Amino acid sequence: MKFTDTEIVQVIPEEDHSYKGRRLRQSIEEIQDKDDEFYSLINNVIVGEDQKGKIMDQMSTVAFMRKLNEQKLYMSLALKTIKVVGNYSERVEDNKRQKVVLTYNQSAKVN
Amino acid sequence: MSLEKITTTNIWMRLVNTEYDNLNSKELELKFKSIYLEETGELYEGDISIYHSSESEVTSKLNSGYDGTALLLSNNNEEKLYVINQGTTNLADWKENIKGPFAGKSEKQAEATRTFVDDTKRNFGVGDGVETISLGHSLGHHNSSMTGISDDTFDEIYGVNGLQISPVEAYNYDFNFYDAVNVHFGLRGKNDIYEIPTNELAEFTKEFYADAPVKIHQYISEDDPLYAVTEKAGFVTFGDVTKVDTKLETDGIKELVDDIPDDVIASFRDLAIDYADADNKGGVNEVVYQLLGVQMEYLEGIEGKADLLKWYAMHNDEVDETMRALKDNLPPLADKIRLISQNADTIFGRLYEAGYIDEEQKKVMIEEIGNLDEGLTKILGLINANVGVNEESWSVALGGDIATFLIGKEIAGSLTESIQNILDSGTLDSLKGIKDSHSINELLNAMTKGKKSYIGKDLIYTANAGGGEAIKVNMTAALKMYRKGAMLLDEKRTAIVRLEERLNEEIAISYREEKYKVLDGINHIEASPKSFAYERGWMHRYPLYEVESLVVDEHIEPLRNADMDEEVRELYKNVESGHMMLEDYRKAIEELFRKEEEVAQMFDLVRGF
Amino acid sequence: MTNGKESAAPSDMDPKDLPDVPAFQDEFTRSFLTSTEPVREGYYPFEAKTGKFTMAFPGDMEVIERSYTNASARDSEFVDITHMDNELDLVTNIQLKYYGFMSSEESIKEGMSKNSNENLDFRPLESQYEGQYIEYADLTEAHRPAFATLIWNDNKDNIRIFADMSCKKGLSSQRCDEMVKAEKERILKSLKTIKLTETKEG
Repeated sequence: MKFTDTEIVQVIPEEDHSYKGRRLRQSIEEIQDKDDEFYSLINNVIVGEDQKGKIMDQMSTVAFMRKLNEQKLYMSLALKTIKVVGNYSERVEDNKRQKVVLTYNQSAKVN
Repeated sequence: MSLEKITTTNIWMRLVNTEYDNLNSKELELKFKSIYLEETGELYEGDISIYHSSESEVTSKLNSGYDGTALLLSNNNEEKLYVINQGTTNLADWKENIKGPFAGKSEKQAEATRTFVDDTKRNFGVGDGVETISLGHSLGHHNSSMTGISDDTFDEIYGVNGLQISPVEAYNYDFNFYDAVNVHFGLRGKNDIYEIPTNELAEFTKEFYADAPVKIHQYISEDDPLYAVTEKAGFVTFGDVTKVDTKLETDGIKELVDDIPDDVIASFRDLAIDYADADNKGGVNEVVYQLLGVQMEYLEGIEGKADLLKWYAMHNDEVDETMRALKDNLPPLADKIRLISQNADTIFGRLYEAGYIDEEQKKVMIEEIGNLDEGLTKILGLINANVGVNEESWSVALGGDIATFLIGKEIAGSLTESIQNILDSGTLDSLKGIKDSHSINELLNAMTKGKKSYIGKDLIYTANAGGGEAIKVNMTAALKMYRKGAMLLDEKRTAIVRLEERLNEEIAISYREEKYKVLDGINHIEASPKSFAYERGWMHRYPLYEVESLVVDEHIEPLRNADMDEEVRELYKNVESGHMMLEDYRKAIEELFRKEEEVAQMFDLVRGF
Repeated sequence: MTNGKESAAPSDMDPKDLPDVPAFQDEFTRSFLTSTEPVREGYYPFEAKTGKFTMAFPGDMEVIERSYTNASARDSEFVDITHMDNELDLVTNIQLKYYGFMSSEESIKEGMSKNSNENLDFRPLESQYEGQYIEYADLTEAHRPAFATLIWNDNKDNIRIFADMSCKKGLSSQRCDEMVKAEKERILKSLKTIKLTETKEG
């Protein structure tokens, strides 16, 4: 007579993946740094050099709108990073736990 | 393209102005290329090597504050060494320039210039024969001229508002000239030089050096106070001189100086310099400190005799310091103020007529200088009668505490009030304009016609946009933004690529690797199911039963919702719109200066650096 | 409070107690002299205000105050030494310039040649001090008898000297030549005592 039993097996030990979040954030910061440099360059021309007139007004409006837009983008990148790393981590750790089906049979020794 | 343009256009003056910023070699090279483009509308295509005096072992060791930059430029078989000599870099230097008797201090600077040029040639590995050109302002021009006329350090010298050569200095620096002067004037002992009338000595100096092979070209503002004061003192001007009236609204400062007695000019000059120093640090207290060496904070809060006794008893060191400072600094100051006070009507009258100050300022100055004179005389009398400073024991013996009180009260009261009134009148700010005329900028602007002008270190274009309103565009900044903006956007694109790579590496590739590790693990279990069951203690979990087989119910999901595609697309879009923004900016400026073809050309070329 | 007279600095002493020679009678010159005891007859110990060199100073001469300069940064000091009395049969001027920097001694010699408008032929003299060098050249193109001397050490400290002599009008040329010859010897003897005080390690 046979019967089966199931067990959940941790095939590979658990791991912490939060470092991936840090690495991604670092990459995003590098991009952001370039934006900061870009705006400080523009700002220096607009404010620092004391330039006035239509060209500069237009330029500063465009720059302002861009900056707002980019701030929104960086916000969603920050949230997305949490989500991506979270999903990744959840899925990877899930995969490491597998169901094992054991089939038992009467042992021969008894007979 | 030829190297000629460096000195036939405004390039050299702007280079000299730029040297004051102490840029590193890379920044200076960029700045040079920018200036070249802005002034010629062409790209500089030759080679540049830069060497700064701080890199030179022999001049960096020097404590003289010598600061110079050498540029070795070569293009089409043409090679020239340009040495930018920095003039006054700080106030101490500036004071050394024009204050007090003109002694051997600049002689050391001339020697430092020669030493640096020498070391530069060694560093660049160029022969002695390389054409060497000095570019300088103020003291910088002076140093080059001194060594240029006497020992051929330079083939050509370009100077803007340079300090000229003092015959006595040449007498000390150049033995050849010394020998000639002695013969010409029949001098035996070296001390006798001071007996020769200034004008005779100046005349002989000019004759003597007339044949010096060096070619000197000078640009001098008629309003430059340094020039006015030094010419009067018998300094000699060499080379071809272009004089420029940089302040049309005022008479040349030279005419003004001519009307005022020499000793008054000297006093006024010294005071103005002290004031400028104090003004940088700010406030009346600082002015008093600079002029008298007295810390006004010590005297604050002293209102009656009791406070004073307390100050005397509790802060003897402060009392000491104050009285000693007064004893040292007051007499020369009082002398200067006395001279100015006695000539106040002439001085401030002429400054008013020449347009430097207004009528109200003239009135305030005459009155307050008079008050200062009176107050200082009173304090001086009190000090002389009551305070004996004992040099040995560093202590102040007071003739009576009432004297200290009166001195303190006088300083804290009437003196500061007069100084405050002078500051409030804005006269000193008005007079600052005089100092501006020593700057390179004022001269550059006076020489530049049409749409171009200069603010700070930058080139400005002015357009008439109709309706009579002038629009100023900082072309230096615009070109820099156009060039550097594009550079930054490109760097941003590279950074986005790196983010994509990292996402791929950390998420997609990494996920696959993790999956294989799991599959590996499963294979491992299934390869020897019984031993695995044993290990886990499952083998004989049930009495009379044992594990017959073990199967992993493999379950691996694909990765979902773990990308940033949308955001990355947005990032790239932003780079594109950034470039668009720069192009729109360029178009707007080009539109403004339709007639100036060089504007479009400059934008075209500026990214080629 | 007062110390023994022997160790008092000449500048603190009563002029009446000082040697009756121009160097001590002139207040400014006196400020360089460190003792009233002669190093040898007629020469007194001299110390530069930068502290960078010492020498045996001829008592009959003085330092010209008006042309004297020293940099607070202590990298240069210019001392003119002269006979103040213009009625002397022979008047000597020594222009002595200490610099704490140079690119090379060759470059200085070249500069000194340019400043005297002739190619100076420098010849080494024997130096009394280790790590210190002294060279000498006669000027042949100058209007008066003159010579140049260069002293330097491995620390790039250097002293450039021009000395010139003029005879009183009316003096026979033979007498003048003799006096110049003797004076040159005398001045060189003094210059040879110059010691740069900072060595490379210092």
